[in-house]
Amino acid sequence: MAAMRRRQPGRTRPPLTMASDEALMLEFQQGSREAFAELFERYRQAVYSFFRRRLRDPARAEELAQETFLAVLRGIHRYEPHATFRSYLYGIAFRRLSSERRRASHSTVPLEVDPPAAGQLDPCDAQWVKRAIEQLDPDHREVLMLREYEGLGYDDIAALLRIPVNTVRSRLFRARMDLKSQLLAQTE
Amino acid sequence: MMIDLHPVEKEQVMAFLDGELEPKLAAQVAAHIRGCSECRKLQGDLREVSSQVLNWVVEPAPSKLTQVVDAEAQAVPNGPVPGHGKVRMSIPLWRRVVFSRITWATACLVLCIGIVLKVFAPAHLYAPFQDQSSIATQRESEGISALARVRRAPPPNSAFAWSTGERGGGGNYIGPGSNARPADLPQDLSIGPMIAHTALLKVSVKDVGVAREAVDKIVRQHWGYAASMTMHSEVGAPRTIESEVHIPAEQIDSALTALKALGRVEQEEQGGEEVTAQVIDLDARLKNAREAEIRLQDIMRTRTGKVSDVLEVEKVITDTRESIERMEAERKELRGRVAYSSIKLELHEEYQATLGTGTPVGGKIRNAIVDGFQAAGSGALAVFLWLLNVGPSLLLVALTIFWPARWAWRRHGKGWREWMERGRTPQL
Repeated sequence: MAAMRRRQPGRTRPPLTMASDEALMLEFQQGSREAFAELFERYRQAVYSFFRRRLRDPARAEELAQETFLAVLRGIHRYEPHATFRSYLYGIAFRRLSSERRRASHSTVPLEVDPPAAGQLDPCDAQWVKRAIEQLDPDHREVLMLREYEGLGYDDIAALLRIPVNTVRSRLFRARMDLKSQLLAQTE
Repeated sequence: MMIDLHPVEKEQVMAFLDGELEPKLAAQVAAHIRGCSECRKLQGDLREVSSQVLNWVVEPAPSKLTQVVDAEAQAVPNGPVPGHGKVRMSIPLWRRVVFSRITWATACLVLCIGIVLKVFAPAHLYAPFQDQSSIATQRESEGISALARVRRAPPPNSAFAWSTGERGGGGNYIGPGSNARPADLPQDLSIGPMIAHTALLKVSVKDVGVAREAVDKIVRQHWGYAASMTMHSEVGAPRTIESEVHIPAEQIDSALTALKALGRVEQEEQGGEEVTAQVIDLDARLKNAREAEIRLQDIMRTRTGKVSDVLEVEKVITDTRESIERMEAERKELRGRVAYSSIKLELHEEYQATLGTGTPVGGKIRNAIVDGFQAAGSGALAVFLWLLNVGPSLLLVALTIFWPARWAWRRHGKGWREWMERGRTPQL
């Protein structure tokens, strides 16, 4: 990324780190590799985590994260700032994930987590969270993860999953209530 | 049934925490939460859940990810994307239309409607779209039929009249046709169309034997003849006579009147076929054939040549003579149809049941069973044939509908089910 971060001489621009995602995409459309480098730095870990939380194989998660950014690169001429770049990016990632799941199986694949460890788990432990989320309804789980981990708004989630906003809200509420029940059961 | 009188829904509390409420509504919910212990507890639970969920932290992304994306980014030209100088890029309209799901769905729908209309719609729906030429042809044929239905008796001084009482293969035909003078045809046309009349008469009589004798008498009185006569006399059924009689055209009205007086008329039909054009065409062809025959005979008389040529001319003369005789027979048959009207007569004896002559009970039961099985077999065959007839179309419709329906169900099916389960859509 060092090569991408070289500034072009003779031009004064505000620091890219202060620019919005959408402004960076427009800069990238004008040929600024630095803008893309900044976007990549912002979302590299987030996109990788998106796939890593949903796939068991870390190598496959890495490949899909690569494909997501490469799709952004190759489709830069098609980008239109109608929505946030975040939802645009996770839209690409979600389609990649759906293709991966369809390829693996023609049905909804349960969240791929490591086998549960024996004995009691600490609710503060990531393993407990994995198991608790894995037990959620797949539709509720997806909404919860998009909200909690990817930080998408209700509208973005609705557009991504192609469901009404009210459905997003109800699914999210049910998922959180289910998690709360599991949390209470664990602590009692 | 419990009614929730809580002014703020739980989902609204959650949306407030997520910052998804409008400012005005958010202020109302916030004020409510401050005074509602239940909502404060829910608020705490939701925050704790979110806090717990965030404990799932993923390991850092591999460095290989950065390398691959960096290498790809270097391949992007350092300048505006070619052909896309504007900030807002738009997909060409034709691509939007062609690849639009709405377009494909509409195409599928139109195809389905077309197939359904083609297969199942009644024929009168297509009447406005019939080809004008076919309509004209239909009208023309209707006109001819109407003309044929109007039976016209030949004029009293008809040149095509037969000498009455001498009907048969060698009947004496009086008129221009007998002399085979095609030059006289224009005069023939002036007398009106030549119509071959037909009639169908079904009469119920008391006694078939008496009626038969009366029919013979009527035919003789009108100088006609019986072409065929069949009598049916089955046990347990009324006797019938089916006959075809030919009556001179000018006497058909009086003959029909006399035949109808035999009993109760059940059905009467009269029709006619105009053969004027056929007669004219036949006479013209006959004239040409005779002239050709005369020329060939002149050749045989005056010219000399090789034997093979002579034989060839003789063969042609023979063929021409055959054609002439065939056309003469045809013309005679046509003129006979015009001169003598055909009456199909069916006489039914009024049925009077008699004891001991019916079918035995066992036979009736057997016949009923056989008829039942035959009807069942015919019905099954009809259903099978119907399936063969419309099955491919139904299959095509099903295949066409399947993919859009499957796509719609996958996209909206879960949302629909949830909406149905909830019974209502929450409103903020």
